[in-house]
Amino acid sequence: MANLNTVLRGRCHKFGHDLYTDVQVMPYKYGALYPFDTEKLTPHLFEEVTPDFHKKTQPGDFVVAGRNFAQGKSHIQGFLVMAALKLNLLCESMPYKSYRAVISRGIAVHRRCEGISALVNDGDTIEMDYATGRFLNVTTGATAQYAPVQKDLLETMLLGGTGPMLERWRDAHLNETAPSGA
Amino acid sequence: MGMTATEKVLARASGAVAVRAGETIYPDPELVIVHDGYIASCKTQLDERRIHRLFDPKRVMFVTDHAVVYTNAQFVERGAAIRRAVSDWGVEKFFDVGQGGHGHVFPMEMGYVSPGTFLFANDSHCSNNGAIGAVATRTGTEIVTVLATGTLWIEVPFTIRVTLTGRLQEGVFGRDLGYRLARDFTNGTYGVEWDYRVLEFAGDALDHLTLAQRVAICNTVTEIGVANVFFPPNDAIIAYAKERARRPFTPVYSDADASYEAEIKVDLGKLGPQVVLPGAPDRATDIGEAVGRRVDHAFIGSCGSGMYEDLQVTAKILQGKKVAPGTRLFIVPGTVASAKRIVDEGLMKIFQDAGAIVLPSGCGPCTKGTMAPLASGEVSICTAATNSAGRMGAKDAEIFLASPATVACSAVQGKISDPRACGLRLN
Repeated sequence: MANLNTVLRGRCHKFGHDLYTDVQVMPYKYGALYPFDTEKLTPHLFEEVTPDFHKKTQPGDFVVAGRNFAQGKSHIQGFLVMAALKLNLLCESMPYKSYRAVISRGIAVHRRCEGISALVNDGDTIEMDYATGRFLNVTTGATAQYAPVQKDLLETMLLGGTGPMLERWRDAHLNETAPSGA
Repeated sequence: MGMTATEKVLARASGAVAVRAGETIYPDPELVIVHDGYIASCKTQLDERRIHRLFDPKRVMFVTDHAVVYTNAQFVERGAAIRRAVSDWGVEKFFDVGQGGHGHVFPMEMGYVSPGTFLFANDSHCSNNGAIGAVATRTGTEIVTVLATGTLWIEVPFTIRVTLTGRLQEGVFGRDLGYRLARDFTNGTYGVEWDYRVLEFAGDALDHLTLAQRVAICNTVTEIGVANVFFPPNDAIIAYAKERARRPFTPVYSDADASYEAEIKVDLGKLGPQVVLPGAPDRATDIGEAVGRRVDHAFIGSCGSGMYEDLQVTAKILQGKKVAPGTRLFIVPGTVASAKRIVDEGLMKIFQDAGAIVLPSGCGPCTKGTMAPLASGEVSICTAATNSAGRMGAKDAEIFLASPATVACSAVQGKISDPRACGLRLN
């Protein structure tokens, strides 16, 4: 944890409230067609709200959403693409299942940023310290203090999600991973 | 400040004196259940990461309920891959095709899950285990982490206490209550958040709710996204659990001064039969709104309404009757034990005389219609876990949800029918 940079800075892409996972985040028809092909899925991320959204992002940018982000089903295709584009996420609230799915894919997320929609504009440069919960809108100077993200979860997010965390665990327990019958 | 029952179970599993809602913990499970849809992919993922053993094979149970009759080449291959994984990992609690039955039901019936048990499972309907007073946490695809490491982070959920008064009226069942609760949470009637909350039931009415009724209630409210459902076990449930428990257990109850995020009260006496309209599991309406609608397909059983008591209610209605021409009725006993018992006790003959088709124990049509699916434009009434478009075959088929009694009456009439009109004492 000591070596991880928990202060992330990037451009804000602002979204509204109540976005559905299978509609505005990514129409599920694409998830059904090619569930793990991020190259084919990428053009469809947020396309219902912002056509060609993927062309407007850079690694490290933030998706900032209002209440109930990624409601409904917790299909992972939109989150796979967010992770592939190296986007971070701040929202006022989101369902627990979607929160877990986002963390497991290695996306830096804070889901209890109450009132953040009023603090940002599309295109602002913003900064979030996930370890302390300190938020800064670099463009406007607005600040907010949110709860810190729990240390273990922060590590999972910043180290790439469930897969890399399992590999870390394996390396720490290498002697125990031989076949059960061995 | 005291703890809720869920907090107590999670505290014990975490080796902590106390835990509080909102806290992140890493509980140590007594049991880990994985169904046949996930086992082979977990093996691939762990092999790719050069992790070749499970945290504790003795605490792992593999169940087969999603594809119990291999209907395509993919399922056959997957079954073979599952058996290789079982052999490589040394999993002893492996319930292959034709063994055990539905993984959300038989572990309670066979005494693997008892009051107070904490377990992880990949599938959200593991919430059924709250019916017996256990706490099962759904992991989704992250079950692979549990299989390797033995644990997973979870947030301790907040609890809502649901106090039940009165008694279910004739023709009204646990499933009807669950449907109504699902609707009233999501439409704002209660004015409380429900996402990742535990619904803990309380009140004098609980003594009238059997294990099967409790399972049906757990099953129906799960789809709206609650974390879990918990029923404090009464004497009857404890006696049932003791008869089959594979190890000693201690029932867990909330402290009198436990903290609840919200409290709601429901009078069972005011509840009539419900039907859930197609599209989403929270679209419940009083049955009168749907009566008369033609049905092509009906299905009773699987994880939420496949206990023996559900099959007995179904048999009462089908006794001496025929399924309507043009309607097909599928019955899916929840467990292999129930499937045997319907033969021993004569229910099988009633079902067959009525023209119903009894499918093997498991999910039945409720897993993408791999068995007994719906054609384009057809209408089903059933006890499926949910009713989104395409859940049981064609995307433009319509799926209504109801209690086993309502489904059985509708199958006999060929149209959605009120079980109170069948002239039988059902409860």
